[in-house]
Amino acid sequence: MTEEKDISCILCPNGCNIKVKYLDDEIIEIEGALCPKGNDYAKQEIKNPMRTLTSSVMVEGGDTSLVSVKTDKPVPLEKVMDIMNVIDDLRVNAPVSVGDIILDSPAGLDCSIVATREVKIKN
Amino acid sequence: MMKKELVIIGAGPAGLAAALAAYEEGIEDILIIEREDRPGGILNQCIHDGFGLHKFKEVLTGPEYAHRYIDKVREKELEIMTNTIVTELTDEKEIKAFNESEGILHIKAEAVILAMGSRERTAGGISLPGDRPSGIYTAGLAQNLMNLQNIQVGKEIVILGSGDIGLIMARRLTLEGADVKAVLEIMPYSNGLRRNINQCLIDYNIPLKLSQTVIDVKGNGRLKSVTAAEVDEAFNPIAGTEYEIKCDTLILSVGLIPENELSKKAKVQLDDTTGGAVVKDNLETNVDGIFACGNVLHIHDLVDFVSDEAEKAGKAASEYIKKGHKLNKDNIFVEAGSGIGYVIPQVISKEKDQIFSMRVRKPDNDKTIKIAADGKILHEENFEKVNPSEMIKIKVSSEKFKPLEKSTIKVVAE
Repeated sequence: MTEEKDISCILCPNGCNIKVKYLDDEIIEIEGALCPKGNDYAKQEIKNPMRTLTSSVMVEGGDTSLVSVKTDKPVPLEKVMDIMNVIDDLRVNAPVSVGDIILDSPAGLDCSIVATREVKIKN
Repeated sequence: MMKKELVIIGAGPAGLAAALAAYEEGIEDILIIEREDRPGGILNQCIHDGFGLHKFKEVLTGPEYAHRYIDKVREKELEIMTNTIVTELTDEKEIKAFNESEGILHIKAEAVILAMGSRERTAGGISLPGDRPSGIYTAGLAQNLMNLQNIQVGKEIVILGSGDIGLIMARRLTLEGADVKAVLEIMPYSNGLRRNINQCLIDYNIPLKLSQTVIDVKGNGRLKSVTAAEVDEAFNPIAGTEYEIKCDTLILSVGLIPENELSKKAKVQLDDTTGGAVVKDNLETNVDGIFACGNVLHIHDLVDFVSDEAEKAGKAASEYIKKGHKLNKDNIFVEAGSGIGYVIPQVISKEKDQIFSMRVRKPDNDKTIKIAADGKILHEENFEKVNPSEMIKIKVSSEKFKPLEKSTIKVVAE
């Protein structure tokens, strides 16, 4: 049986409301997005929702005790907690620069954890 | 007394963008004063992503967005004085500030840009009823403790108010292992961006309870529970709908207030609706040579728009420093009419193209925003959806203002 879902796009502040009709994984009709990225997003939401995870990692010897991090690409929503569990145990040493790779393939996923701020060595 | 061409108060996104814009216009004698130990302002604790889509055409986290500006400010060697508090500002643009290493500083500026940002409305600010145990935080404070100081604020959480910071914190607390039991919103709609409802609440099965509020807070020492209830159209609790939620932490996400104590000292006229200065189209306040931008002027939904506005203020301050003040006799006043909460700027000149920033009063579909004067519509624009949480910007060409005789234009949503 075909199903219908209203999806709020998270890609930009427009937050388009996209209506999708689908049968299992097959998209039958899709409307409401202001751009093609919205259509791709809605299709992905039906198949397997993907999210960029942002969090923080403990730093040793830095001028702050945490460095903010993100996954360098979206990961399956259902795997987000697996990555959080890995991040909880991580420690890095200062200094850290924006874009530094903190960890490759967390929880065996195809992504890296990268730093989103700089942390200097504590004076 | 130290002399500076341009002093900018605040090194958050507004202050940094204003400084760079002034530098691009040839002003090099710039001092940015910041009370925190580093530039970046609130972006430093906004570790989530969603910033920069307009300015950089890519999705950045808050710290990354700040870093783009901090890098440029460093490259141009603009001076940022950190750990420094400004305590006085006069309408003669004299500043008193102090810090640990230099003591009290007296600075005379040719122009000043106010970029102090905003602060959060507190429990007292909303007359939160009940006990005052520990465990009650504003959302931004909880964000600061978790994201910058590595302090977990609680385990069982209720969030009052569905502003964006509250939604972001609902997800953040869940990711760090807390149980977020509900987000209560007194209005029949959320004040947060749609995408944040989706990725912060729906993704983690956190219930959003509309038209509900907290009517009692219980706890001696630490918070034990809150009592929630549905409200009627006048926001009064409906008898018989009360229920108790066990929790050790209550997070308040109930609005931001522009931080204008210094502006008041300088005799800057404030707008009752925005809580920020009344500004002309160059973002100059009623005080010659004092400009305002960012959240100290009005609360923004997107930092990208703060940067745009700050660049405009930086350019205008540069022009003021280079050319001195030019009196403009053709001032037109801008009023928010029915359906519109506020419009910025409040005063415009006929000669320039204008961009009006505004917010509607309530969410709606298929609304036309009309800009009218002398009984004629100068400009109208249709919107499929409007939402108070999203700022609307409308461009109007100067051609439309030139024939005007009356000195007031009105903006309405119909």
